[in-house]
Amino acid sequence: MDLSQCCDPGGAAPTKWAVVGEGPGAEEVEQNRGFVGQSGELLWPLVERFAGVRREQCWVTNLCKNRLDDTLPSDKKLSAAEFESCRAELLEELTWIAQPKRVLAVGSLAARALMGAAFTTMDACNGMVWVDPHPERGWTVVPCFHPAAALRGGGEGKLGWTARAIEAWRQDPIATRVSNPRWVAIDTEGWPNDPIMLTFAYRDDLGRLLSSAVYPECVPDWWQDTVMDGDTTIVWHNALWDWRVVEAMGVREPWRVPFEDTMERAYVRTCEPQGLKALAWKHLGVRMRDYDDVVRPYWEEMVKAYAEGFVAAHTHVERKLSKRGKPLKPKTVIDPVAKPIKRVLTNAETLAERLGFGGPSLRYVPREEAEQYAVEDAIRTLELREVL
Amino acid sequence: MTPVEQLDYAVMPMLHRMTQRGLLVDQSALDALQRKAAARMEEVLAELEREVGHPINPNSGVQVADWMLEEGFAGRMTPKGDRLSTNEKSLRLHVSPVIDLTLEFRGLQKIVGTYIEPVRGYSRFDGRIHPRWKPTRVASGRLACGRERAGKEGYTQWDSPNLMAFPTRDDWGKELRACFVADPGYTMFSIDYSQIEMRNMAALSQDPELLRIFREDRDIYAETVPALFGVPVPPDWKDNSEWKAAYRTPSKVVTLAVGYGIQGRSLFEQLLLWGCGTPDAPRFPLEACDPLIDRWFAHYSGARERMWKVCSIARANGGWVETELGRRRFLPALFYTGRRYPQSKMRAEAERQAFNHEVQGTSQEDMKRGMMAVWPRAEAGDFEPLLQIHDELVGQVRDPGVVPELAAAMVAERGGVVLKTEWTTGANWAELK
Repeated sequence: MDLSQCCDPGGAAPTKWAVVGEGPGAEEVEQNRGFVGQSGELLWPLVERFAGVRREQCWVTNLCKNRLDDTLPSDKKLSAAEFESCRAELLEELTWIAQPKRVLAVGSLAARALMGAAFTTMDACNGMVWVDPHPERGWTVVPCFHPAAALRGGGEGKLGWTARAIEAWRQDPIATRVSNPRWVAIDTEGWPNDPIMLTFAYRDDLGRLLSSAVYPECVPDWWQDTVMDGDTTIVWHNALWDWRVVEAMGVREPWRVPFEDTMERAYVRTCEPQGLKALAWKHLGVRMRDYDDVVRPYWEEMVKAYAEGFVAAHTHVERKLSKRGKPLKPKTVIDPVAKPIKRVLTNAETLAERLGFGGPSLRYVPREEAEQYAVEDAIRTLELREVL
Repeated sequence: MTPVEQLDYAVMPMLHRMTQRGLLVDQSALDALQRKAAARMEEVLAELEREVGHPINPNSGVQVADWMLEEGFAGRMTPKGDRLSTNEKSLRLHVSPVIDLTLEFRGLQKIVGTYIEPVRGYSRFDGRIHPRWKPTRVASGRLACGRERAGKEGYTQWDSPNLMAFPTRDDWGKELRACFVADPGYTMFSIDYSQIEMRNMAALSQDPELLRIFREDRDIYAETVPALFGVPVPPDWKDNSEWKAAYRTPSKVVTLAVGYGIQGRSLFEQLLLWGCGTPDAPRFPLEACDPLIDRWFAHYSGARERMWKVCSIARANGGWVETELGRRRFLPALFYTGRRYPQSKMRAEAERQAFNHEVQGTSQEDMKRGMMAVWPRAEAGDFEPLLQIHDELVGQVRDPGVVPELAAAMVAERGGVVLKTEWTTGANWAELK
């Protein structure tokens, strides 16, 4: 942070619209005006075109009022303490001076400052409308890719994402939900060579959401009874993958049943993330649990227990007699094969590798928790189909 | 459900079948190829040592840059600015046996590391590669292939290498493809749409000259030569390999380049890549490349008009470009009006993408319709689909007599242009070209 170069926030106040960047560039510092350099040249035409808002209507500010070091990656530009103080200053300024209703957070640093833990990655959050729950802040935050990201190699498509977010910034959030009771969302857990379970979700005649898990041995019968009734449309998320797993469970030609695919729907809409978790957060406001967070603790426990057993099995106590025939102090001896294992007993990753133990899998999670976790995927897929 | 979605869903069963069946790999041929590559790498290293006078590691940027400095070669610096850049692009600007050997070594390493090793790894379970298709990655509707992201698990049974990126042109690529073979009792075949993007460009732009060429079924690359170089087409050009290398090849490069909307700079590089001159004596110097593109467009002026029209339709449409069936791409940069750097660059880029999206996206829709047309035959067991790469469908049949029927079923027609298909058969993937 260069304290000698700074750029003051400015614009209309109080106003409905606020645009928050991460820090001023050289041009901004010189003119003491936010978003006037290259990124401003890219940003304002989009704001005017896709939101119908002119610059003069907006409060234009930056997270950090001082020039940041552009050579650093964006998470290194500010230390934690600097970030906190900048954030506090920004929130004060927005709450008491600008009082906006809609805040456009340009770039991930600004988005993180305004949304806190609600911000995950820009790929997932770009264009989502996040309502700030704080009682003093009556605004919604819409994060978007920094327009300058489009100037970098490989970022050509990102400008479209920015513009889509600006459209969302303009619109008042509308909740639209349609329910189609004939949709059954299906998701699978496991792999084509190791299917674990199938989960499904649907709405009954009253619109209540019901869901459950089916284990591979029961899947063919379940499929015959529930899905092949001629009236069902299956909603998959990435059907090409799930079909492989479902076929491994014994279902033949799963594509015969009419289907839709939420990943395909996100793709056709363009400028959307395609992962289920990212889509659920963006469109449903639901933070889904991470696979690794659920599975890893159990898996690590299992790997370590196995390794300890392995070491114990390769350890024996040697009791010898001295030359005079007196018993010596017993000595613990470890086989050479177990030595590399004993050395890394706390590191599950390395243990699994050395012992040939498979990677994390839902199989190590207690049945109830595994089902609970897995069923959520099907539920969100169904809900996504209703909003996408 | 939109028509695009319906089309995408309709081809998914076929993609699934390709994945489940998998592509048989001839393991002994693969082993032989790897041994051959290793032997050649040894040779190259020895030759390098002889040429340079001391052992040199072609992978070490520092060592190669030092050698370049000793030889007095100048060029671009690395981004850090501490030595000469030794990436392929910078090395290609110089002519020296050492540079050729260095590039050959790196190429071989790439062949082994990104193709041979993964093919072996992924096929070790059942001797097959099960291509993992990703139909939702490319904006124009093309397929992508390969594993999701580099993970720790190594080669697994359910992932695959990126089969779309396998090299085609050089001998090593051919030999690599020869390792992918048809199942016993089957013959491999390939059906591809001939010049589908050019044909669609003709159909969409309705340029009279392009339409005439495709209606009369002439060779567009040869027909373009007079307009580009002012040289008439000799009546016996098909047997005149000298003329073909001198005029038809560059004309082909320019024509394809225009379809992608590339600029003079990249056209220059492409022309060198296709063997039109050497870096120190290019047949078409950099300043001659932009006029080539201009002359192409002057000759086929309808194409240029279509390019403009696509952009103006997109502007009227709020920045959305659509293919025939409605696959959309959002290009807000079309609305920039500035004449200076960031805006002008983004706008030019968007204009290029707009036309490219229409042509490539529409071609891809034709390909998917073609797949739909032959899918019933696959379900009946007449053939086994294996791969779909860009404008090409690869499969295998028990009875080669079926192939012409399939090719005929895939032929389509748009705006007075027939989208012709061509087919070949062979015992392995390399024999299909």
